[in-house]
Amino acid sequence: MLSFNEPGWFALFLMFPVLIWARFIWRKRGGRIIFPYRVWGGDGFRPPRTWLRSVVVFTDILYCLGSVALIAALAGPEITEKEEVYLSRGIDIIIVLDQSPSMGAKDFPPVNRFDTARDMIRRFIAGRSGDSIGLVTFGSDAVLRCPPTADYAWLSERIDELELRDLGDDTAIGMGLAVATLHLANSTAPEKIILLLTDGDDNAGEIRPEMAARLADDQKIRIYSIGIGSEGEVPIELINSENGTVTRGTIVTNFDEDQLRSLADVTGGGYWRANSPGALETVFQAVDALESVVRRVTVRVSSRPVHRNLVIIGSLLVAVVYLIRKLLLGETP
Amino acid sequence: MIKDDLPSRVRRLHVRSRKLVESLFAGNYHSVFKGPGLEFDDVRDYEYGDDVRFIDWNVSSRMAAPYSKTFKEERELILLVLVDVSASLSMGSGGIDKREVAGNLFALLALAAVANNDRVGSLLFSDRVERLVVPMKGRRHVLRQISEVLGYKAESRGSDLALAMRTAAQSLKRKSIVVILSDFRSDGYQSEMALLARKHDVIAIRLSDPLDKEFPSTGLVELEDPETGEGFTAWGKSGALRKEYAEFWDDHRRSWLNDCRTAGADTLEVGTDEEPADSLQAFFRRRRGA
Repeated sequence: MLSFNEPGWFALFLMFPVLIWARFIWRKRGGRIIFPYRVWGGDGFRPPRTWLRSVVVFTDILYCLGSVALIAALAGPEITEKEEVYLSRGIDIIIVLDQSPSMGAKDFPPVNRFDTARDMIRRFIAGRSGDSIGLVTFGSDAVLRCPPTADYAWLSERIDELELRDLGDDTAIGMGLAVATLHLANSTAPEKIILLLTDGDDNAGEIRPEMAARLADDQKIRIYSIGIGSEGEVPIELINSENGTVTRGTIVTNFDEDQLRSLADVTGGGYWRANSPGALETVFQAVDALESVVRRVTVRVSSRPVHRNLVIIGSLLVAVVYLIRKLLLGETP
Repeated sequence: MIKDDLPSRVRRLHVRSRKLVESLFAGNYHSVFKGPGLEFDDVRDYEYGDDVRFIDWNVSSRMAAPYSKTFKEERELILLVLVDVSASLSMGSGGIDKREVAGNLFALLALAAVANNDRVGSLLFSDRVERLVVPMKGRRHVLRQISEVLGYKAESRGSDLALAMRTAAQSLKRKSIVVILSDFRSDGYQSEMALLARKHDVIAIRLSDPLDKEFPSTGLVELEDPETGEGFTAWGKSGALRKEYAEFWDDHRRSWLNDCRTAGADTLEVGTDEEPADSLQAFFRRRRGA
């Protein structure tokens, strides 16, 4: 952001109209050589139109620009950067996202559940500040995609990279929760949260979800679980990223609502069911609203002066004008 | 050049001019400007050798002795000098401006006229008639006019020659000598000059300056016309400008000469770099020869 140390100098601009008037309009200011060249009542000598006129106008404009630059330099311009510094630690959130093929079901327009979920996560991230957010995805196994970080840009890149089915065709909710718990265990944040998004039953992995929830509870981690998907048959479309074949069909997904609810209850979190994109959005807003802590923030202001270039440009312009007019054209006075 | 105060300038000019007039101009002036003719003066006794044509037969028969008529030349000419006091005359390249040259010429002419017992009047004009001094005799009268020509502060800046000539024509009843001291940087005076020259002996003296012929080789300068207040930025090293300038004023001079010839006025050019007395003498010589 550009600001000025001593904007008082800009008052010099008020003199510009006066100076311009004195220089170009005021007839009796003097400095002009009296030289009769007209004939009274007649025509008189008409100076021929030459390139001189444009040179003079050009140098006048340069001179004005030069003075503007110098005045601006006088006003002490500096670029200030404001940086928010969080004095208190925010909360740690790990989003545990289901990456199983059933997330490809097309009951969440415009594309499918998975893309809608990703969209919502991105929006959720954008609405947070000062919190560390991580990402764990799971299919047949669970993987930490991104440890809790405040670098949201990096996190977004990780989210963009995700593809359905690259962790197998199963749904290992327990593993996902366990990996998330593992990475939150050492955190010193006042609040630790796991945001679980899934659309199916736990059907793989060495760790059962209940077990994982107890582990999480031990670490004072709360789990917010969100069940995605509408009931009944829904069309599904899967694209194999390796050979580009498209598999279409219908799928009936059911998630164990009781289980998800109990996961949340055990850890003191919450459970929501989202059967449409709108509902999912509402859920995220609810989580967003629930998980906010009072933060102490200060703004660190750093500024660096930028008058140097202005001085150089301004002096250069004025010098060029003098060079042209005094030396090349031999202007007097 | 340091300009002295007006009275001493007038005095110096007067002294110098009087000398010149006594030695050169009185006679020249007398012979160049002749009166309208001879006028009956008196009768006296006829003496042997007198022209018999001048015998006044009426008186002779009455007195029973021959009487001869004597004549004298009708003199008492009127000299009216129109002096341009417009702003454009305050220009001169070499310390002397056109106005001063005008003052010199006026002094010479006026003193020559006084020496010949003629009446001298002056009309100072800009774009209006600034001052009109009715022609009268006398040295003091002339001295006052010289000081006015040199030092008059014009109230207006322009130059309206036509108006000045019209005013002169209206105020002069008898045939007179009308001298115009101007730079003729005025337009539309041609018909007025023709009218004036029909009745009077008009001599147009054009005051010029070397700067009229050639644009000075300056750098970038801003110029201002003193009469109109217009200005322009000129670069004296520009060939196009110098060429056009020279051509314009050459044309102007030629059309002036042409106008004067058409109107029947005599012409004389005096530059600020010339000695006014020399120019004037050359003029008298030329006119006598013509």
